[in-house]
Amino acid sequence: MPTRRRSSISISGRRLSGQRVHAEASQLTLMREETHTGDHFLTPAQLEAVFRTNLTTGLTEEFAQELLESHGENKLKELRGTTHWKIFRHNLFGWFQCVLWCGAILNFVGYFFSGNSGSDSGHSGKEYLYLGCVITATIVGTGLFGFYQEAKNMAVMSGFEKMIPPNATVIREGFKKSIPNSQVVLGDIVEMTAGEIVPADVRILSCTNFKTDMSSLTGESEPIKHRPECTNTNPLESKNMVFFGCPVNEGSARGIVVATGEATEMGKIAGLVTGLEKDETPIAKEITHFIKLICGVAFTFGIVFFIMVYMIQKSWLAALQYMLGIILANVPEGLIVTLTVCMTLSANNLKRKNCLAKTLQAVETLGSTSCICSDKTGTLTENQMNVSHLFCNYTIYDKTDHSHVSDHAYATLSLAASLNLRATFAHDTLNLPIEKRRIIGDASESAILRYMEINRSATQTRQDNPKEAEIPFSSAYKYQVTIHRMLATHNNYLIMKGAPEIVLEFCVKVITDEEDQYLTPQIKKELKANFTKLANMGERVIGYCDYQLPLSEYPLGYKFDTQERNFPLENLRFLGAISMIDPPRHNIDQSIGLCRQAGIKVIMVTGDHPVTALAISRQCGTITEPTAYDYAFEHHIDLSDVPPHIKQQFRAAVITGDELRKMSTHDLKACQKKYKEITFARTSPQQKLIIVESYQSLGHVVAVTGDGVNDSPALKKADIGIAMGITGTEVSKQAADMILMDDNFASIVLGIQEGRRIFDNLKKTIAYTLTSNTPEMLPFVLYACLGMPLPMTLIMILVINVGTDLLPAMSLAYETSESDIMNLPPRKLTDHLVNRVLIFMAYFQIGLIQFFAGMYCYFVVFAQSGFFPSSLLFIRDKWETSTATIKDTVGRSWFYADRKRLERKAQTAYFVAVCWTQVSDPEPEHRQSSNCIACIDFSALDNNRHFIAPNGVSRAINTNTHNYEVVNVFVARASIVVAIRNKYNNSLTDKDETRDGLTVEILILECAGSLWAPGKECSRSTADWIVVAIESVPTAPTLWLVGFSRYKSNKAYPC
Amino acid sequence: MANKSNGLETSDWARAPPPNRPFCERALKAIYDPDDNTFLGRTPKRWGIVFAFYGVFYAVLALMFAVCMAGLFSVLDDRKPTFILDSSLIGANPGVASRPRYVVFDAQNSTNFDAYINELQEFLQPYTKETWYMSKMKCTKDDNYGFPDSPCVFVKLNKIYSWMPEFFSATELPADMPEDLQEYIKVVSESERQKIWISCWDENKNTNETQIEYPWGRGLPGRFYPYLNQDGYLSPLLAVQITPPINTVVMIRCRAWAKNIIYNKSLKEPSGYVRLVMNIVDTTAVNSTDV
Repeated sequence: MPTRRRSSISISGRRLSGQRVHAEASQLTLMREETHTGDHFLTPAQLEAVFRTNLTTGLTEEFAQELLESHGENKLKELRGTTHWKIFRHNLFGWFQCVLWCGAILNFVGYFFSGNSGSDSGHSGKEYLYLGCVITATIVGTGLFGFYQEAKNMAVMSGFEKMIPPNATVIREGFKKSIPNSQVVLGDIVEMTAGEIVPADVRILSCTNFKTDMSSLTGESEPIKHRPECTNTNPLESKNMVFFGCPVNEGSARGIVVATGEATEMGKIAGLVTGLEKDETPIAKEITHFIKLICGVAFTFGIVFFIMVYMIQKSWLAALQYMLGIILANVPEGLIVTLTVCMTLSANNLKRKNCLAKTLQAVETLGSTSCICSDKTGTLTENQMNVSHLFCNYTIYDKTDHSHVSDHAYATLSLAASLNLRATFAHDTLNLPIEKRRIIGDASESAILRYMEINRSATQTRQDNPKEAEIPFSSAYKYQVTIHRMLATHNNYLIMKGAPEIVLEFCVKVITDEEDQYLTPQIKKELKANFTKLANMGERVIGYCDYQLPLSEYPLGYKFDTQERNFPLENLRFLGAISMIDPPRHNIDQSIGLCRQAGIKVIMVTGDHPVTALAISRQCGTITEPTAYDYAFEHHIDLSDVPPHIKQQFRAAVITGDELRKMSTHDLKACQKKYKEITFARTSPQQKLIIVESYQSLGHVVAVTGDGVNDSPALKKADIGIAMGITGTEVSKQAADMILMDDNFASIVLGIQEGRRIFDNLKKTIAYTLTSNTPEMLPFVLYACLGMPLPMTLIMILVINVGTDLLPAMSLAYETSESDIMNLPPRKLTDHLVNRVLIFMAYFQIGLIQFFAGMYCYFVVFAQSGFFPSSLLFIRDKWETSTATIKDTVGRSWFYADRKRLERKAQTAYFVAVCWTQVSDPEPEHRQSSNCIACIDFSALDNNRHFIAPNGVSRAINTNTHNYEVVNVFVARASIVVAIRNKYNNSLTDKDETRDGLTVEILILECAGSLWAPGKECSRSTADWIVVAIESVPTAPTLWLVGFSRYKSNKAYPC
Repeated sequence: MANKSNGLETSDWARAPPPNRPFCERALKAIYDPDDNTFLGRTPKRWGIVFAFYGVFYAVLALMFAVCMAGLFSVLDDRKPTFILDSSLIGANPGVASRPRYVVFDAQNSTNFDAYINELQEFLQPYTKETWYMSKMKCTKDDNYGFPDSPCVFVKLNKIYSWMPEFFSATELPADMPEDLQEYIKVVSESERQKIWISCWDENKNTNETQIEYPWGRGLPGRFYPYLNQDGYLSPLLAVQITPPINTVVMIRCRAWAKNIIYNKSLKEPSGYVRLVMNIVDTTAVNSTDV
């Protein structure tokens, strides 16, 4: 792929881009840079020369054929998804599976050795063979199960239809020809009309009212109207460039192909996707960590045993066999089954909720997500313009406010807006509800039509008052005029629509509910202020004015001539304005609220304008705090004029692609750390990628949601990419790990919950399975060191691990999530699946209880048959000799067969006891954060950093009444300063304060381990912990524990 | 707007991050950190708590185990097993045992068979105080238990708690009982028949070279049963004097006869008999035959 790019450059030799391709530059860095071509600068004559073509007759067939051969077909390389073999390999030879394979092989080795040595140890050779076979069966069985699951999901994926390769109309040798898209070559002259898809990257030579939808490339939801002139140095922004794969909405155009296949903008992004490698999933990391730990434990015990047994028995072989037994006892063979079941269950759960996980691990990754980078268009919004506000009578009405429909101004505005429309409903969808009808027309018109149809049946109004004449919209004069014959008044009625500032200039009057007022500069200013207000909400504003043509001068049937303009276009009456926006999806704010409550950052990354992005961010709830933009709007100044010291204070920001381009990696990281809420606007696909990588390097587990081609690199790079099933493009779906089949963002929240549940349940499962390791291991100690008859055989270990333990462990996978699962912050990277605490508890606490229970049963069986515990010590050698007889406490002699029967009975008793204690083991809650606040801290505090646990807060406080939050607690000299922020007005306070009728008292409860009274010195050297509470007096006499700080680290508090 | 600057904007880091130290210093610090007074990451107080916790935990666990064991012992009779006869794993079919378990020696080498004599002497030591034993004339220490020419083998039954043999009456002797024993039983008086009979034979029935004698009679007296873990109880014994052919491996099988001793001739799951190997090597004898 890079070679092709280079060759195309060298052939044409026309790239103006400064980024020369160096052979040593890695492919990825190359792709990450935004490469710009200069084709949009060139004049048609230059283009003709560069591409060796003819603008009127096109290429010759021969030359086209030659080009096709040298540059290849005009199509994207198919994204190679995970192959079946890859899934198979990963399921059968993953990390964990490899450990189990080792165990199986060790068993076979043990079988061969024991075959030679006879049955000197407690195990016969056959047991090793069985054990090896069962482990192998376990791995293969679970591997195939996992493979089946993932392959099934793959099959669903491939069910998505690929883009059908359409035909393109090209001019070759002077004739129009329809050829398959893939045959289009550089320099072809192509013609495009509405309904087609742009066949390659095309520089427009001439066009009429030509619009393409570039949303999949740039994220811009509004179709772009194209012109033959170059308007921007960036080809993506330049109006004379259209790009491969974008659908043509309106008009027709003729242009020259400047890039084909992989060299197109779309192809570059697709190439970027294939070049990216994903990091290991968090759960895979955890499993690796767990394996390291468990292998460490197993081998430590194994080697200790080896040495111990060798010292006692002086036999290498016996020692080796014991070591094997110990290692096998430690490896939880059943865990992999539970893991697969856990994930499959959750994946199926999600699938039922229309959320398809391509890999099983994806669900858990979602659970550990700490940052969601979401695309705006189509993900957070509906990707459909909708009327949001109406402005008339000096008032801005919300779209849902229908109480003013009968008011004079409102009614007139609605009438004008309905009549003026060009858009119509598609005939075949007329029977559907209004929301579902397809509309022929541009996005803003569609929005108005939909709104007016609901509000006052626009179609009917238009039929009653037919259009007499129309001046279509033109970018030259920026307005549109229609004249209607009115049914009610029997006169002609002129309506003008356009940018509000423009149409206002044609007006002399303004309509109000009472009477028409004459426009004064004062009123004009007021009106314009309102337009700005709407524009600052990220909305597109359209103004309306009208004129009742006097019947005397313009009688019915008067021939209006739009060319001659034989009607007045001045002294109009201003009616009002309608503003539109691509609104956020229904309930998206709730979903995002849930994410934030769960401690997950939601970052909007969009290709859209910063103001629109900010408005949507605010509506979605990703930005709740003031930004520099708000300051600029409030003070009616330019963003660049906001003083730096004020800029410094904001904790939320909108960062544009241009600003991003000027930032270094370090700056970006600093920004990401500094601002709690960020929206990235006007970003390119490459920048999205950089943003994601930057968050990842800050230690976040990043989820990316998106639907466009422009999102796909980020989707691929993210720890988990989530694509939209309905609106999503094929490329984005290929790059993603999870697909929301119904495009519902709420599924993500559900996914997060499921993922967290998986982690919790896995932790429970592991804690559960590990406990049986101690009672599996210690019998060997007794056997080897105390010479007691073996209480537990290897086969029994296996039966416990893959038999009796399996179902209870799997049942833990069905465990419902803890009630506060979505109120806790995401798992920290240091909060491992298995940690020392868990190991200690499993091995040395619960495991020992089980061991003693088992030993008790073992002794009971022996004692009841006459062998008192004292008679069992140091009899191993005699016990295992088949010719010897052993006397019990009563004095009876036991032959080999009899005492082996007794031994088996005792082993059974031991086994049952262990199973019983396992099943009745009251699984303690292992989420550290729930039962031990101190533990969270410890993990977070590696840098002696003063720390407040906001997570400690959220649990204790009812968020509805929680107006204040502790921002920081720190020691300044000898006193403690507690910074508290009022969430509503964002003010900071450092002492007791009364505001909003709320008395806030800051109580420092504890300092240096004792109660702290105001005035008491709490110095840095003595302060250990500071617990701070806020009391809100009038509302409720509740005391909230809001945070604590610690001044000395390296002190672990027990869990 | 936030206008009160109380150092918040800059206080993201209230302290400088810890300096990077060389490895050995960090390692030392891991063992003992003078700043926090921690050994291996815990202060002495914390270590105390950890040890106290585990101390208490294990103490309670040990205590519970001890209580359980005490409970077990309190219900156990240390003279009588809980499960006896058919309910026990050892069963109600006593195993037959012999001392010595095998007899293989060189007749010319006295140290070679002295081991057997010593073993038997040790085994029979408790019996020397028994009156019935003292009355025995043959197969005693005085005649070296018949060694080396015709060694004595002592056959006994394994002790089965409260097992009572059911004796054969003269009329219902089993068909597979050797005829010499049948005749013997028929001759003895009724009171003498309250015995567990023992019969031994060479497994290779074709050779009649092996001579088997029963110097102590042919039965184990029934008065010793049942075994109830009496103090000083000694299993009854029966001496069998065997004179095997020299330089030949002889398999001797001794079977015990009572109605409730089940005989299973299988070698895999033997019951009701004992098997012993006998091989007396005599190099001089070999030479003499050769000559």
